[in-house]
Amino acid sequence: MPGVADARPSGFERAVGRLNNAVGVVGALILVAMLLLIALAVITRYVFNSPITWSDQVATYGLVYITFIGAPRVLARRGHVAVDILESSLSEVRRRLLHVLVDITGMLYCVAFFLLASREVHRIVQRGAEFSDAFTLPQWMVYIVIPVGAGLLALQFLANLLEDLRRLRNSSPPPQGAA
Amino acid sequence: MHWTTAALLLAGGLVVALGLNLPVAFAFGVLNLIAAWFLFGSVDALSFLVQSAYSSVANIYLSAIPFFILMGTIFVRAGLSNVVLDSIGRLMHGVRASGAYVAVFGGIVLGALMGASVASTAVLGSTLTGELRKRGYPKSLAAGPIIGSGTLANLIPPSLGAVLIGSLAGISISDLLLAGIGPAMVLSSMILIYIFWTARKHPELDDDAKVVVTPAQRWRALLVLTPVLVPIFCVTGVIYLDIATPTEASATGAVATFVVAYLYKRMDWRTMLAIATDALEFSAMVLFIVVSSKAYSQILAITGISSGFSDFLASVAPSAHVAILIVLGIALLLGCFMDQTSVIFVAVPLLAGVIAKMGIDPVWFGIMFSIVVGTGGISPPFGLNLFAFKGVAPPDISMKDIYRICLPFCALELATVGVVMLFPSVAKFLIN
Repeated sequence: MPGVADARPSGFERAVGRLNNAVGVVGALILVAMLLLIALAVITRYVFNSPITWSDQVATYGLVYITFIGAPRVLARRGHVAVDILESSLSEVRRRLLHVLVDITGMLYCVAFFLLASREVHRIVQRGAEFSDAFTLPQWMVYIVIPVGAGLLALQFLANLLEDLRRLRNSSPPPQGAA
Repeated sequence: MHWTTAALLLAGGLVVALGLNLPVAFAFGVLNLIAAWFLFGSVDALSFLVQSAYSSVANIYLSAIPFFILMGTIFVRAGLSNVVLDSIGRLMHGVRASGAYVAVFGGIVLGALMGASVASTAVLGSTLTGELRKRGYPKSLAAGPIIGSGTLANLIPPSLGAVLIGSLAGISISDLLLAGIGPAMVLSSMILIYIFWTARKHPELDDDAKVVVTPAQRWRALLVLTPVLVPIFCVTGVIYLDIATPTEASATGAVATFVVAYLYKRMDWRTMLAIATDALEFSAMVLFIVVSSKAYSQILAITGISSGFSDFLASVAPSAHVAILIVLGIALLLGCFMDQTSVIFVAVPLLAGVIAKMGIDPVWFGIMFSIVVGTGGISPPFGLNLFAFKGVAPPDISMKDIYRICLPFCALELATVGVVMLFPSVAKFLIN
């Protein structure tokens, strides 16, 4: 996005962006911890011949975590891959209109997924379901990251929507026709 | 509902959702939600989507994806990629159109350290293209070899595609990783020949005689390159020797890359954190597509599309080769419009069905599929690598130029598929 002098982003937008960036940093730390754990497991297995039995299980849960707490940060940077064949052929105003439509659709989807995932977590808690592999762990401790991620994504879509609406308002007389 | 109707609805829905510029992961998600609602008709049954979201990424094999990404990010962000390309440039100095050859050899080394061709293309393009244009290279030689060689990262281990295809289709990931090396050699040889052929018409591309590279400098350049072999061995060597699983190899490879990078250039905490967050973002982007495209592929299975299609293919295709060609053709077509992760998830269920029905060697088919998916990355109109390249290339290279320049390289990729199809041992000679 070219830096058109928009009205300043609202406090909400900045707060959500900051939250998701911070959550992403936690994800990055989890990623590094997973890496060190698996590398350590390789060393203990092949060098000291005493494997860490629980490393794969923990790394698997780590993977679920980084997926769902990393995605909101990617959205905050508008970094999710999209097919922009149609978008690139539109005029400035229509393009911004399309962005608004995408934000609304994305937000509705994430709210729906948030509700579904929360419901599922609730059921898992009630059942008291556990993962048991190298060690046992209540399932909700892993599943919980799915509604958390979906909720953060919904918030980020809302923040993006506010930003895009502002851009749309500012672009009513199409500013620059740069392709 | 007959499977063809379901297929038309699901494919049409995907085209609409993607066409509206909805990010790929969410386009699949919206479609999954609608399709699951129509299929099951109750909120209770929709919990299938949450279960699928969990199980799609709760897979130890997929840990190799963030680790491979981390490995590539360390390599680039620590400036090692510049060191490598610089040394190769010194070694090649004096050869006509040496800069174009650097793209190929650089693409090979980068491919052995990075798992995503988009990333490799971006690095090669940002480091080389501008400089080559300044040195008077025509657009075809300043851009083409980079677009072509970037795809080597798909084939040479580490390779994100091999991890995804292997884990989804139930093919040995180690075998698929190793099977990429032979085709990568074929493809890079063909690109080298292409450059040689094109450069014959450009005698002005002889290197500047005023810049003298002494033999001592060449030896030094070679010496600078050797430490890079350590992480390469940690991944490819370890998998070849069957010492560790691909996930373990990816972790040791990332750690080894970090150690080597640290020796070249001490990094502060800020850089290390930036590397980790960069890798997290790229990983989350890929894995989030995995989450929603996995559910999509499950819906393809539930509606009977996957089995209907492979039954249909088995009944009409006169031989396994024709069936393979049809599946590869579909993957290529999808690749023109979608990113590679999505293509893999949409097309692998078809591939797996055909493999099972017709008794085809899964590694052989898998690697041809992997090459074709990579070709999608450099195919107009929506090859992701082309856009990544455009983002880093000098502005005088337009998207139209890129669409024209990439075509010969698409052809070389398909020729590589042809070679593998005719001579399966090209892919399988490293697998014991």
